[in-house]
Amino acid sequence: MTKRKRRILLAAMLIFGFLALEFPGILVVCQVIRPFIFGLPFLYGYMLIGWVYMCIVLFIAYLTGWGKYSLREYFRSKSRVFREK
Amino acid sequence: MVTNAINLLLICAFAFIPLLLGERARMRSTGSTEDFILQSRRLKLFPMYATVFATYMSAFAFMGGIGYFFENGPVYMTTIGWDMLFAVLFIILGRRIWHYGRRSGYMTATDFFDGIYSSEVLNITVTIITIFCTMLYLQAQIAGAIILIQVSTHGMISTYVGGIIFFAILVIYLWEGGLRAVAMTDIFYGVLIVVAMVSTGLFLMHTAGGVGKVFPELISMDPGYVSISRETGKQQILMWICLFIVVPLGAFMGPQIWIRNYASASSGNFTVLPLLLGVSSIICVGTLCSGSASIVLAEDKSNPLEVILGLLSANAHPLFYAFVTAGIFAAIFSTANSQVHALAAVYTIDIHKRYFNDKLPDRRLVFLAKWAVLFVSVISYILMIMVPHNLFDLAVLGMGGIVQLIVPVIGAMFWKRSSARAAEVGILAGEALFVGLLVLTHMDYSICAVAALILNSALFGILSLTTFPEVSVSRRIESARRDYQSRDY
Repeated sequence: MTKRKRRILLAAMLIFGFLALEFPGILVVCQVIRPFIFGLPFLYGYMLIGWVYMCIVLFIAYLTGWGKYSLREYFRSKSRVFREK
Repeated sequence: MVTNAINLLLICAFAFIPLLLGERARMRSTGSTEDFILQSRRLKLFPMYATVFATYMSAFAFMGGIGYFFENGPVYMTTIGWDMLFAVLFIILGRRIWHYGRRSGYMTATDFFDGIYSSEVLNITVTIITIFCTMLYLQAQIAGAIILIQVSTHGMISTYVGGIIFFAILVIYLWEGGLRAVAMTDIFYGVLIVVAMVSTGLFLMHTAGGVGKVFPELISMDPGYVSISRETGKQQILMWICLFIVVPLGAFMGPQIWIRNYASASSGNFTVLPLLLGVSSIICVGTLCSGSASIVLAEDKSNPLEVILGLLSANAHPLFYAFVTAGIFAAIFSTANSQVHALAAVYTIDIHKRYFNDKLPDRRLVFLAKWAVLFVSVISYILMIMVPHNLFDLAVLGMGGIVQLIVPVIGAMFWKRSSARAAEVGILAGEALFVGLLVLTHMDYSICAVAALILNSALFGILSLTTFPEVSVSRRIESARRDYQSRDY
């Protein structure tokens, strides 16, 4: 995958998160109270799941230098550093 | 009496640590303007993260957020979305601002506008908006501080004396170390904010009977406390979306965040910062727990901002109460210090150096920036006494005004047809509509700000496309953009 495609994919994943957390996601979940998630009313639990998703995307973005490298390249460089140590 | 004594002791200790850190910052200072305002552009990752996080987490996030749960139910939980957007802005815009700043020696937002658009009207407009809106946001912090001082000391310290103590501490360490002192104290404040916010939430939730009891009770009281009800639904959903736009974009356009972007030591900081800020946004769970438990526990809900302190005073150990008080002070100080520092920088660079004396030696300019810190603090103190405050409204009002700057900033980075004339008209029309809607309608401030932003964007786009292209502006935009892309960040 090229750098450009990786960046587009990351942007798409972030936009998906914002759409789910904000608009139109909020229209779907705003009046739902049950089921409880992690002991919290649905809306709050839903927002927490959204937070986890966004953190995973931001973590992938960090590992890949915001699309500059692929994840494979990242892990390959890490294992090389580990072997050299 | 014992509680008051412990509170006062803790406030004294809380005041002493920043002064100590300010002294350490002074010892490392090089004495140049760039050092005072931008820490010589050598702000490393962790201090940068701490100062951005602590600046972003204000009285608005702590006390205002809890109050918001009382008044608008779950609308505050849009904070997860706006925190994430704020974090992502650092990679989309922040790294570019850093690059442009380093390339052309920019120190303030007006420098950026002048460098790209080169329009005197735009420079003046941006400077006025920056100063006015930041003063408003600063007043929100002071409003929080006043409530806190009055409630936590049970009236032992009056508003006037409390205000003097508040500003005296702030001016001393800012005078000593500039941005370096702010960054060092923000590390201390940041830790306090996180621990205080989370522990307050957990404590109040535990006191109210735990999540298993609190949320079913809230639902039985009024389902609108945990969901967006049908009656007020449209307005609340609109607020949910508008706050998501206004808060992060408005906060990002604040002079304090421009300064932090310029001050970064490397482009690498911007790769990690979104992740760190995104993860940190989980502390809103502390506000969620505090707000929800407070609704169940509080008998008198007439003043939500004071409810949390009243509940802690009644239920918590005096030491824990004092610790939380210090945590709220940390949230207030960490934002107020950055704002006073940023306003001093704006006055020094954008007003004094640009219009009064551009040949002032560097040492004199630093001295002037220090006096500007004192001047801004005195003005804020006077406004604090004279103007009544509402914490959340003031903060959104400030952000709603300054968010209008985002349109020409995006244009300057990504669209070569952008023109100075379109930027001027767009911003002025946006601000006029924002003020007009505030005065003439009863809509929430965030909704007014988004309506103004839409008008601003539309005018900017249409005028840039329909008027004769400004060749020099296009050239500067393209040149800066190509230079940025050639670095392969």
